[in-house]
Amino acid sequence: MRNPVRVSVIALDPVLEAGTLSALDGFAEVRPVVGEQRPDVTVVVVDRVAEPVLDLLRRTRAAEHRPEVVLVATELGPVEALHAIATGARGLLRRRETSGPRLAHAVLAAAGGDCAVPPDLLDGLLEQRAEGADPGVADSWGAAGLSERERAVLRLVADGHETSAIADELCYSVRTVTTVLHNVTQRFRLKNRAHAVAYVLRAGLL
Amino acid sequence: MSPARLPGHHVPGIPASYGPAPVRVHVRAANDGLRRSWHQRLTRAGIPLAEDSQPGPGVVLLAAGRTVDEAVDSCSPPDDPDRRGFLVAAQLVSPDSVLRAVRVGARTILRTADAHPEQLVAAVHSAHHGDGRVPYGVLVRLLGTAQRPVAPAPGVPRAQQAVAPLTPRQTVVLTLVAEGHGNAVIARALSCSEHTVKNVIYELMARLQVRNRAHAVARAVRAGLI
Repeated sequence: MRNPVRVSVIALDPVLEAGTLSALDGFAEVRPVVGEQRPDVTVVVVDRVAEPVLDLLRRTRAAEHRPEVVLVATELGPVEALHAIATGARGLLRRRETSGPRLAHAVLAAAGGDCAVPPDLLDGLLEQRAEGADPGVADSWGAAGLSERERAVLRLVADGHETSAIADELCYSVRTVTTVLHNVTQRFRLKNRAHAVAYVLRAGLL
Repeated sequence: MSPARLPGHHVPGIPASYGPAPVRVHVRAANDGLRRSWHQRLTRAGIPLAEDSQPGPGVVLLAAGRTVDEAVDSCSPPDDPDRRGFLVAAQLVSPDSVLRAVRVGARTILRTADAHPEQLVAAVHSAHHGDGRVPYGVLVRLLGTAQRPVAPAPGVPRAQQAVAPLTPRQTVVLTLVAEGHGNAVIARALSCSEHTVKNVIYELMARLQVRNRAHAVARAVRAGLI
């Protein structure tokens, strides 16, 4: 048998944190760790998914050992789910639906490259396809949208074009292309073009 | 290993807390060879096989195929109103095919390459409870395109069908590239040399037929590979 998956918990308060850790007790496949031990997976328990929570996700992911993050939230609709996983969450659960076994499975799934998700969100995908998505949904998340110009530039970046080719194609100066990309990476706290392309595609912005 | 926590009667691969009646699995597959190989995987993971084909309490139906469509076509999905007890396993898992599988009632979808014993046990139990579990890249793609459906350009083939799957190594490296990390950081994270990272990226770029890193990331995200 492989080594158990090491898991830590970040929660709103110490009682919730202790409760979440103890819910994982008794599963041989996962081992709760605290303090200095590097977790493979970190369970983050929050109330609502909003910008501060996404920041917490980014910070947790940025730790040197790069733990996968399973997010447990009180409210979790399709838009929150999308932003959480585009930001790097590898598992989504609603607090009221989170039992010990379910959490343990979500932790294992995250360690294995899969993503646990409330089944009604999967069903919701079908309904959205059938009805046609509400065009306002993706933009409702504050500054989450892209301008037409940003979208045009990013689409060409995603197609593998370099700055000068993008400038030629869109009749912009090289400097304009660089500035557009710089603005996007600043706004969404992204590191470079590859990161930007991944984020905007995953968040459904492109 | 986890000390103290393991109860004395623990069976490897079966979470101790599931009690005395483990979930059994009935396998349907596109062909006999595939069915036998899944019997072996399940047996190795300590999961008992079931002869009865209808899932009920304690029985999960596992549909296996090379693709998700092939897997789903190999059986009639169970008509459980709560969508429990159905596990789909395939070598190739594309966003579109997952959507079709969800339509016929699948909630738990596993890539064959990810079906290590522990993961297989966890996925079987997830399916038994009717929990959702989908490869990360596929889920993010489905959620993202549901928010902003892009009409495919006329005459342009759907890119996600044609993309060759990546090796586990290539997947890990490209996942880190997609998080904005440079070769040095990736090398440290994977405890290998930068030279190795460069080689892996060179190989995956050839496989994906792309020009640069951003292009590679875009193609892999669109195909649901990362």
